[in-house]
Amino acid sequence: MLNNLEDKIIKKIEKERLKPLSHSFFVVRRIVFWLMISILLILAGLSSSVMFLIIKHGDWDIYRFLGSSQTTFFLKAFPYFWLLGIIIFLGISLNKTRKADGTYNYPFIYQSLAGIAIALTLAVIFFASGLSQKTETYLSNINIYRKTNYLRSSWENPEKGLLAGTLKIVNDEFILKDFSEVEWILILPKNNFIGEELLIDNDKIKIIGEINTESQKNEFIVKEARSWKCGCPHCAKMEGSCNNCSGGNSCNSENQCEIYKTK
Amino acid sequence: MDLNNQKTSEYSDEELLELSLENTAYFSLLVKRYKEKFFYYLKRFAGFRNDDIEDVIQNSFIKIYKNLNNFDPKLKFSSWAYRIVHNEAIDEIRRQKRNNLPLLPELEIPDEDINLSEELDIKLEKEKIKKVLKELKEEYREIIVLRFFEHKEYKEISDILKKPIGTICTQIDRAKKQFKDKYQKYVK
Repeated sequence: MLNNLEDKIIKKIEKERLKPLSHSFFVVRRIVFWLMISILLILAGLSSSVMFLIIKHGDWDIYRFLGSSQTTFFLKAFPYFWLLGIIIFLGISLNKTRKADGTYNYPFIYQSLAGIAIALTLAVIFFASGLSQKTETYLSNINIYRKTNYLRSSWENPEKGLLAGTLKIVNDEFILKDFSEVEWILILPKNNFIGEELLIDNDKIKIIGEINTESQKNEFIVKEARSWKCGCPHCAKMEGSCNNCSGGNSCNSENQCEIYKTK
Repeated sequence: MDLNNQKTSEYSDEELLELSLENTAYFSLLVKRYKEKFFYYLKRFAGFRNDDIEDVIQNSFIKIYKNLNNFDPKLKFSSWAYRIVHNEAIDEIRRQKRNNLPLLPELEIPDEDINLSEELDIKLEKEKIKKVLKELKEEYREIIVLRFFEHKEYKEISDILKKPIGTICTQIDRAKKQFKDKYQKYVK
């Protein structure tokens, strides 16, 4: 048994002209591996930051328009998509590093804690820098994300007083094209109203109000406008115009929000 | 190159590995040094038939040759090589499972004292040991074989299986317990 095995192996090496893989191959492979792990941790951090953003700044108050209890609405609108993202990205990265050279010596619990700590640190950075808001806003323009995100899709309920879409200002007339491509003529209140600064041509916007049942046309009476971005519901804008409301800070009371105070 | 007259037994595994990068004749010395050890390891852990063992060992050495530049000098060569053989064995076991082939057809136990009796504080018979090993979960069998049949230290087992030493200690305890419980059923 195994007689002349070494000769067989050497013959095979020579016949197939096998050579040891170069040292640089393994260096590059290690770099690519750790790059992939880094990307997964960044995505886990980003998912965490967006999930936190939605929980902190989502339009959680609109449950009253939908005839739903606060708890039911929260359970339906909870950002499961981002929670799944955290689980998948963190899970894959930990699974891969578990048996990696250099990390297999460490108990899995330590590796997990390190992975979670890195993801959370990145989450804080992404949240503070506004990247989480940019990411969520970008994705909200994609149909499939918006339709599967209950908090976003709830705004496509004009009969319940919630409308969202792209604003067009034509000859002083405010027209909102919703995501079903239906055009609504917006009837603005005579007095100042919350969010009127948000009525910018070609911008996406959320409107609270009601359908004008007295008209044959698609008319929507506006009570409040909100930024399409996930952020402070009372501020006109998210970035920098309100001293208390930059980068996603909470701004939900009269005392904090300068713009809200002027209404 | 004729290495027969050179004092090749004086070379350490790591030195032979380095020399293999320049001359395959040195690699054949490594094969000679380890082929029997791997043969018995595969017989004890995977119970392969002799033909299958030769294929697994050949594939393992080809892999070792291709990965010579990936050897981590912080490890012992034997740990690194055993790891490759172990992984090839796992792949072969999976292949045999997929093809519905009988598993562990020719499991063997070493003749020399394996001090498992002392560890478990019970008298062990060879045929019953074989039966129990066949029933053990793969992760427990591999650790019993490495520790008590191959006489590997905890650090070596950790490097072979790529698991933390703490996990290895726990698994050895669990493996011993499971082995003892199953063995005592046969005694009764």
